[in-house]
Amino acid sequence: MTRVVTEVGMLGPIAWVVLGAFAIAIGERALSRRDTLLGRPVTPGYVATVLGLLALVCLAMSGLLSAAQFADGAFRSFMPTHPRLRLDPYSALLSIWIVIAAALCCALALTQLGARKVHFGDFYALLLLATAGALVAIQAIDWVALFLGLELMGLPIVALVGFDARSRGGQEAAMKLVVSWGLASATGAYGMALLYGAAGATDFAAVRESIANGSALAAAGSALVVASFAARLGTVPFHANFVDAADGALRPVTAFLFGVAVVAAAGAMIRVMTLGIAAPDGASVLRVMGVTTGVLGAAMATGQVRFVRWLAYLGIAVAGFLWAGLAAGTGAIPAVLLGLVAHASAIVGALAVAIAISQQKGHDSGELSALAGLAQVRPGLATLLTLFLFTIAGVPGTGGFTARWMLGVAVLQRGDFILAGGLGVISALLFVAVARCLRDVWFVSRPAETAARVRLATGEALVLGFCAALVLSLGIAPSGGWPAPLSILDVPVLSWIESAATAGLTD
Amino acid sequence: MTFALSSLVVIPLVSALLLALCARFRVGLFVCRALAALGALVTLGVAGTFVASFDVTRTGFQSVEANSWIPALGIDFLFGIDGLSVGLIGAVAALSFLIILGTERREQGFAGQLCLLLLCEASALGCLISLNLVVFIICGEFLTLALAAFIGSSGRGECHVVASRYAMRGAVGSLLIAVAVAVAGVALFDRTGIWSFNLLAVPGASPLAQLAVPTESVWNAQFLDARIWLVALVLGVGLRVPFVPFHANVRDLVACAPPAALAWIVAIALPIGIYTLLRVAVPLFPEASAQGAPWVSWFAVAGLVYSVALACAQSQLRGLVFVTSLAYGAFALLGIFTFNVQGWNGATVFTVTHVLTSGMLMLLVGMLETRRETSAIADFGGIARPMPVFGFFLLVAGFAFVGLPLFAGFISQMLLAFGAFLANPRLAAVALLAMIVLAGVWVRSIRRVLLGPIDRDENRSLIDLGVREKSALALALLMILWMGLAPRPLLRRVEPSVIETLDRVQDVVPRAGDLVDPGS
Repeated sequence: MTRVVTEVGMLGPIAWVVLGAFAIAIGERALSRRDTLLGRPVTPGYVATVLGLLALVCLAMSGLLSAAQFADGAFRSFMPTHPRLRLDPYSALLSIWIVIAAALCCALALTQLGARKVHFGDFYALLLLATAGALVAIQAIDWVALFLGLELMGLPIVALVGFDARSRGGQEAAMKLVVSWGLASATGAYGMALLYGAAGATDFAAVRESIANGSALAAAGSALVVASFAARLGTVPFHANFVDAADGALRPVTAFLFGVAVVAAAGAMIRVMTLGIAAPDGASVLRVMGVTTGVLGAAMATGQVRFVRWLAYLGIAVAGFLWAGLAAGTGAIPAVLLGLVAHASAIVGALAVAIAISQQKGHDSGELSALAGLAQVRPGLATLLTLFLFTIAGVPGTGGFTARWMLGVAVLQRGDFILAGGLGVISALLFVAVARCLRDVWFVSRPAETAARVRLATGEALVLGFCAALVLSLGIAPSGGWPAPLSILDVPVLSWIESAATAGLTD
Repeated sequence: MTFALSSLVVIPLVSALLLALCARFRVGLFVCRALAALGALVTLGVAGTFVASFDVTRTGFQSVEANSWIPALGIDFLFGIDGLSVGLIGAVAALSFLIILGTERREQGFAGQLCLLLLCEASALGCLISLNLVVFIICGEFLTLALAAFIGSSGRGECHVVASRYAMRGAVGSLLIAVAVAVAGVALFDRTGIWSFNLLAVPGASPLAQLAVPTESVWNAQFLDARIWLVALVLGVGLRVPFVPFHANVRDLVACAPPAALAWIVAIALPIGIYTLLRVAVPLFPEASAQGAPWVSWFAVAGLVYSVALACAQSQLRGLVFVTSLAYGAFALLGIFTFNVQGWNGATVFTVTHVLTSGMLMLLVGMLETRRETSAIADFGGIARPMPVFGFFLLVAGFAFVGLPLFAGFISQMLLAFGAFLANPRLAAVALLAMIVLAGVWVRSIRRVLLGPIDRDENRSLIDLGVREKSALALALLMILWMGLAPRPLLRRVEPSVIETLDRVQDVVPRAGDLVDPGS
């Protein structure tokens, strides 16, 4: 009985999110039949806000359970005799981040959807379902569970990207994402079938053993699985549709793509690379993918005129560090994880700035040039945008620098100077791309007609504050150690990540 | 009263924060300048106490202050001063105060500019006191960013484009320096198992012995040696600080940057670049430096001659100050790679004297531009009559800059020349000849500006310097004269550290006279 309770309890973080999704789907139908709720007349926007808050509660519960599991530090498997999911320090830590990022996207959606007049409760149900898929994917230690998790995450995201039925860009983006991720799913499924054929089992350990025995079938399967992850992460040359999806989607969905989907796929891939197929250290293909993705992503960013496309290319460029980190071996995994969180926070924060600006202007032009002179009218927003872009560029004092420094040292320790050079080129190109934008933000005079000021919505303010605090904290004090008056901020994120990477990526 | 060394960073940082608040709440410009000047003055006072209390009988680092920051990455707040940095700390603090005092106020964005100047000061002082090389790089990067922001905020012409280019150059430079430093850290870990970027990682051992990278293939890098990393580091410094031949893209910067920003670049960023070579490049890669010394010496002399040729073609006073600084930078580079006490003493003293002399000249250029909105030499002539006080200061500052006896510049240039002659007389002769030509160019330019008939009506009505401007320049002149007339206190502080560092370097470096001349 105790064993059953423990097993079911291990599913708590996922269960809260799934139950929340169903509750929201049912709740919207039930509430829309009422005339009043809590003394206020029921309107679609009001219902959606209530359901959005319900989604936040479910995410908070899921996050608390994940945090408790992380603090416990124990390994818990669902169905221990034939484990499909495992909640260990690694997956618990990533679960915490995924739940936080989903909550940030919810908070952004609370105001943004109302402004776009697409304020429906279904949005939050889909968002929670995708979050559940992300949680399954990063807890998976079995190919079937991994596939199910990625699909459970992918399909609701496609629906979310095309959520605004009146937006042709959104519909087109959803179709492109269907094609792109459909191809990734098919490739991944075929690869997993080959791995099953080679190992005769679907758990990671069996496949790893089969690869170690030199099975050509398993090697081919591994290559296909890596290719499917590359497509999901928007790695060059699979980047085009990913960028279109990011640009065409509603801004909170774009934030979800980078804050949850990319981190979950990357987290699952790291687990696959270390536990599943045990990719050889310094694999040339990973190095090439890393440098190519980083260099081309940053180079293509410089030619963009739309802010979200530009940001999406920067997001792709920083994904190059992920592949490079995997090529650098297990010593670089903490740097990769830190970079994932720092860059995701920076992109979500930058998108929150874009949302705030669109609220101020009364419309979302989406042009990069709309940021020109932002410092004159909204110096606070300009400062925050600078902080987020500095994180992407890897400027000291931000989480981006800490991650890049750790990664660079790990690569140099291996004596891989070509990869180190490639990382240097990516960093330089990212800085160039960011510097051009910031030049316009700070030093270009703003046209007088855009001087109207609108207060930040609570959701946007919370997202901006959280993301800024996180990237600064990861840059200034990743190991904690704040002096007494600020000891409340004493969060040793770096040691958490190191312990998660050490403990969670072993059998 | 004793201060923690970190107060040199904290005081300007807090002042900058207060000024940012002043800018936000649109406080009066007079109050802003007073607040900034007070912050800079307190910093100068604290720096003065460190300079005065520096124990000349001791070698090694003094006033060491250690706090852990990110132990897992080997990054700590480890601060300390020695003879290489102590004089420069005082000079940077002094010039920061003088720039704030002497800069003309603007109606828009003045408080923000003062805030950026104080951030520059905090970053520069952070660079100079940091004994952890990662913190050193971080402070250097912040200095570049703050300077870029300062240039961009001036609102002159295409300054925002120039500022972003400057920031990009600096970032690439920082990246190269960071890679070289990371290599040193990895090499230290490989040898000792200690993961640190501190110059005092191993208690009791010399800073040089700790992070120095041997030339032979290090750890598991079979195909690259320390010379590559030395080149990366020097290239990084060259990009951050405009050494010849990395100066080409800086021409537009010279044309449009406000004088205060230019004063920072010429008078503080350049000496910090020289300091980086003294503190980081040679100690980290002693063997590679020794092997490359003959080549760098030729390179430095070529840069010096080229800079002098550029100076001959300059039509603007600000451009002349800039290219002359390039020439002196090249001369100091020659001094460093002589690997003798005279050359190193000269390079170290140069970092101090150049801050004051070139800073004073840039202040004067700024004052002239405030009145005429030009610094073209041809636009002036005979302005000593309407502006006698300005004329006096320009004459004296020019003399000090070109190294006439009794002024601060003389000591450093004499030492550099001695060092160069000891190491390679032929190169030294060429360098000295170039320096004489440079002095001639300066005398000619000053004569054209100050003397002769006043052939432009605008120059007849020029207003001489005000009390604030006179005070700033008089303070600068006092320090320049004091260093020129009584250089002993500065040399007593510099020499023990130079000898200590060179002793360590010369364990692996052949004697100066034995250096191979690639031209022979």
